[in-house]
Amino acid sequence: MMTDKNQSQSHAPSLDEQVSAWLDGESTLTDSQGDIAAKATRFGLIGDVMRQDDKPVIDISNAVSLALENEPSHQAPEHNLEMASGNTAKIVRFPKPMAQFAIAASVALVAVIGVSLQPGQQVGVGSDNLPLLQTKPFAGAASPVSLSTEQPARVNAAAGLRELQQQRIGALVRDHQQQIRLASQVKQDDQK
Amino acid sequence: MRASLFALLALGLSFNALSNTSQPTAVNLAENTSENTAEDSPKAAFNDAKSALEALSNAIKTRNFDASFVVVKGQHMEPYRWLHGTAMGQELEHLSLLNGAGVEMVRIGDKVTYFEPQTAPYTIEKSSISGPIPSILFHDVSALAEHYDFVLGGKGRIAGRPAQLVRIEAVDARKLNYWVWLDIESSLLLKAAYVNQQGDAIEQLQLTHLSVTEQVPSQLLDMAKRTYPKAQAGIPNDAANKAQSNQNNWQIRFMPKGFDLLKADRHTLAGNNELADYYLFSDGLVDVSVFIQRPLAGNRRSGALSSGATTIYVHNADGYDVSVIGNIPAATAKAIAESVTRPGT
Repeated sequence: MMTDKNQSQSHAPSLDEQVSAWLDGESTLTDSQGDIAAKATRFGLIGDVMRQDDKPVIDISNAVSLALENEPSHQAPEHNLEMASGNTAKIVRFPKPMAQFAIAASVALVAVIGVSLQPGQQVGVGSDNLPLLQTKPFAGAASPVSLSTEQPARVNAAAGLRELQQQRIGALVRDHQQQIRLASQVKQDDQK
Repeated sequence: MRASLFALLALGLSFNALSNTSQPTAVNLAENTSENTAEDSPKAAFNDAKSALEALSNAIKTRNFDASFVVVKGQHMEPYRWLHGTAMGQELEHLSLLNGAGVEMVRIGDKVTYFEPQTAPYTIEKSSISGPIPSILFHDVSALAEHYDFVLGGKGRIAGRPAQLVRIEAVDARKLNYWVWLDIESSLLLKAAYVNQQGDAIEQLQLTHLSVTEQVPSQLLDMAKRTYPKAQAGIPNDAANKAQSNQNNWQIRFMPKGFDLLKADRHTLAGNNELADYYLFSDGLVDVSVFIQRPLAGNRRSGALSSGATTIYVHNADGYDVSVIGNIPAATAKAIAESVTRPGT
């Protein structure tokens, strides 16, 4: 069927197409198609390696094998080895983590995230359109304020509140993690 | 020309290496006529999803291995080292978070010790580490059968090994699915992902290196000789029942199907010394915490925050704040948080 189709096509099928047809058992190879046979063997070899089928048949073409035989053997120069070992010795051990960096990963994650919503954002709209707590620093409400001295106080209050919320969310995440560690045994006991 | 010859030589060498190291356990994927001579080697292919998951939980409890994996949560990535072995009649396991200050989790038999920054190490009596891999994978997955479907997926190549996908699909569409790719040869975990109902992987765990060995990794043997804090028992089984009979209970009117209350109490959060009424639910695969607290001052709004599969939803009700945390979609967390009402109403 495939071969019929190929014959009816006006242009000659490309090499890849012929190989594919041959691999699928849909066409036979003629003597003039030695290129295809070679290519197909290589395709098959690649497939074997990728699937780790059997031990792959190593088929480096004759010309290459001959060339390798004639190639002088290469020994790695001694000084290269020394350089390599010198390099590995220089790998620096990381210092022990210090307490001031010590924040559990989960807490660190949420701690950098602000939790104020943009003013004017709709809250609690459709289920697919949930309001996300903002991940950018709160820039202060853009409401017109006549007394300029009020502004810093408001910003400070907002910043303080944000910090409290961040602390709370960090504490909640940590507590959630600890509770899971403590309680997962309970569920297992239930299963028994 | 010479460079290309070297490349070919290297290719030939790697072929040799492949054929030398391919043990009798190597599985022939194309045909089922493979010569599977080693006694301990699993079947060439898994017959069904459940037996594949059982093979996985068996393998991660019995084999000696040294693995590395990363957990990808959006733009955030956590690399881990994972060692496991069986020696002196008990399991030894070490899971270590390699970035930042790190977290070390050590399990010797049924005692798990957590080393974390800013907290004194503590030991809990239980038979699996609560880390990035859901605990249920270490236990009897049939506990999930009521609320999740097990589906055998396609085969692929993960971390350089042939892999079989098994999908744990939530029956309730308001929960997340969990997909697991296992090594066909060893049945060990190669990849896992929380997948939402749209089919997007929102949190992925991918092994980057896995070596299964005859010998127990020597680090584990050293580890087993150390002394650890005295183990505290887990929460007793009747804690949830006692809590339910408590009259001062908040009413949580919505939960996706399959979640049971594991724990309910009032405690102070270690992080900021705030008091919270606390409820812990689990459906076997994921855990959901509900916190009810006094509201913070100021004009706040409700909202969600997410990190990979974990959602944190903060709902500001009239006179109290409800926070829901767990590996559930944001819309579900919102529905849970908004369903909480005052006691007695």
